[in-house]
Amino acid sequence: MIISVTSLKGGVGKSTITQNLAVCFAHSGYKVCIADSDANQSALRWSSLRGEDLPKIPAFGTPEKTLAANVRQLNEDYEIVLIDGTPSLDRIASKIILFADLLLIPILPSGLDMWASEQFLERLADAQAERGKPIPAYFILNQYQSNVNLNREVKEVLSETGIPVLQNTLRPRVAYREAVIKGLGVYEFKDDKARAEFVDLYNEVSEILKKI
Amino acid sequence: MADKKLGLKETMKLAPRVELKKNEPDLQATEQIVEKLHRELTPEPEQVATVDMKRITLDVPIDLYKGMKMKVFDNGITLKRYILSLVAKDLGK
Repeated sequence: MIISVTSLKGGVGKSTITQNLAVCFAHSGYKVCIADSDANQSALRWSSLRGEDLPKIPAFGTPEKTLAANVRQLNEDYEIVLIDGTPSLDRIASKIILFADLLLIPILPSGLDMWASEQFLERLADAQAERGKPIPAYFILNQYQSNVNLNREVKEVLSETGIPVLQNTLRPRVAYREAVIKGLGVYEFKDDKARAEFVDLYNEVSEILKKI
Repeated sequence: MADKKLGLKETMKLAPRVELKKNEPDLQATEQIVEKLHRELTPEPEQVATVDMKRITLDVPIDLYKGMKMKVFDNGITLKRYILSLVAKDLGK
């Protein structure tokens, strides 16, 4: 199962969400790895920081030239391959979309992110048309606060794009930034609120996997 | 009397494993689709060669130059094609 976490915009939480999903999958007993296509290779560094007592989550660097071969091999060796996408519309972004059994698109509730998402959705539509079958795709609202008017408006506009928005959203929390420097996911971290919200999101993703 | 628990722990349980479908990614088809998608986004060299050309020379900061070289390498196109496609896109041509 290949799950791509990608979007056109940088800084929307692709790596954070990828790593935290990987942690939840690992604790649920799946054999999971991360294919890191982002130039900053943050998943590789995060993976190397994980303690010996934690479930293993290997991360592999996958530049465009070797992405296809790497992902095929990883898909044979692991039950779940999470691709940490790169913020671009280059060939690598198209491949990441096309390889996905499930596409997760993190987005921040801002006008800039919404505008960037338009181009991304065009590419997704082109890719789906060429592939000849739909690619299950969902938005994940990150750093979302339901008491902010703009945020609610963003959620409403997103729901009209034809791509469903996950019901569970992630709030802006320091825990995500703190956990990452210890090689942890918030599921393994001390902040119960962050842990609970991410478990909810993971469980929603798990429900989607049943239908794919 | 002990406080009644609110059940926070119950809300933090990961969903049990589900049976996952395993698809073999079709590399050849994917490469063909990517080639087609991106061919449409960059002008063909023949298209460029049929019009009058003017040579320009410009100095580029080394960081930008390295970035451009990496980009064209990753995308399998020439620097010329890359720059022309950016300019053409910006000018709406």
